[in-house]
Amino acid sequence: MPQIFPRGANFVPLKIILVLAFLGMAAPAAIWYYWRPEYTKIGYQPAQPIPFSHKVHAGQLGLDCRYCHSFVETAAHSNIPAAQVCMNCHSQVQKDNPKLAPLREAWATGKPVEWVQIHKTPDHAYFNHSVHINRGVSCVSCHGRVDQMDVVAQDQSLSMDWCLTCHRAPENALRPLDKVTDLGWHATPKGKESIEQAQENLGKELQKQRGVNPPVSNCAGCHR
Amino acid sequence: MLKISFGALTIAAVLGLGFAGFRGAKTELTHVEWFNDMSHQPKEQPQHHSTFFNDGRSARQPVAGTVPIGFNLEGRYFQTEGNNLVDGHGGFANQPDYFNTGRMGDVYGDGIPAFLAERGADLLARGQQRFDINCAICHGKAGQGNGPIKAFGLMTIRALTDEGLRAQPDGQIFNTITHGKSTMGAYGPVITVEDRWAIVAYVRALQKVAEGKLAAVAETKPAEAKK
Repeated sequence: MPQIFPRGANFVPLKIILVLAFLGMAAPAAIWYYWRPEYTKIGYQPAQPIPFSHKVHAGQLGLDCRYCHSFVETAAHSNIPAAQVCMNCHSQVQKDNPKLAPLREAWATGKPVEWVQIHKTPDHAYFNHSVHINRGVSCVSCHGRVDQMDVVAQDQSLSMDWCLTCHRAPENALRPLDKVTDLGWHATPKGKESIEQAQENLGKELQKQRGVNPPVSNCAGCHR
Repeated sequence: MLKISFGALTIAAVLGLGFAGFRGAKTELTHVEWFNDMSHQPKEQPQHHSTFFNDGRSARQPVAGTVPIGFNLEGRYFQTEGNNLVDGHGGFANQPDYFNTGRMGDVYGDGIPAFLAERGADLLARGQQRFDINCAICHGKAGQGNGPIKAFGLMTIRALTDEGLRAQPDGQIFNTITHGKSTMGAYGPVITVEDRWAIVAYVRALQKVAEGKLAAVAETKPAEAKK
């Protein structure tokens, strides 16, 4: 009577274990890589109703961030400018450009342009722009080099883990108050320091001077 | 069989990577929220879309016919004269006095409101900062009317240091910042009243520098009506 299973069948259980072990490693790796905000949020670059270029306005023209986001220093919410602010120039500059049609419509009707929000924090996190700006945390820390972006894309994950990384070591982000909207600025190294060391030393000094003490283990600091 | 299994897994991994891409890749797609917990609460947030109000805005406009306290319907003329010379300390115009309007009765006043003028160099520094943010794009950092925007087709920019403007009373410059003039838009909605006065003080300093009277910058005079 011939044998039911060929000789190779002896190794089948081993092979199954090998494949399962591979899957057992690959699946968590894939989940770790893909199910985190570093993948799901960074790079979000929605199309806007007007192809507004921050690279032209903030980079090339050198407009200060606060020309348009005028209340970022005094309010929790960093405001999107009203059509009036755009029309300060665009009543004359590029005044017939079809790309600006939604702006002219907003200007004429008073119905705002519906920009798509990119940087979102959950509704249970109460992020306050003014607190950060007035302590010397630059726009670039959370938004990246917006002055080099033709179309703005999310640059940082804005996850809670990411918030806490900075809250635990604010010296890496604090800078002189007049450099907050200077996105290309970095600390000047003294002697043989690296830029990072220079930033850390300056940041520690500024932190002490300004009494910066961001909430780390106090949940209610951000979740009211 | 092992080869087939690993082959299939490799193909799956390549397909997965090809479909899902790498971290940081640009995408127009909103991310999938696996656990959205309480991330989206039915509350109104600033400048957000509202599903509650008919016009779709979370920001509410004043009810039609609303008149600011102390103003008449045109919003700019005095209803009472009692407040005219009182220095207010509010953020945006809330009383038709000199501090908020630059006017004393029917004429423009001259001089920086006293409680601001006391701040001296601090006020000028603040004025410089606000000027560089809001005004320099057109008028240039020295107020010569040659800001970066000039190369882009905005031709009617006035030099802030010209004779006509040097002769204008402070209140009139304040009024121009607030309401705009000819091709210049109104900056009242984006610059607070105190900051507008700080800018006026700084423009005066620029004018004195242009005239070669740097020493006169430190001078401040009390507010007075100018015919």
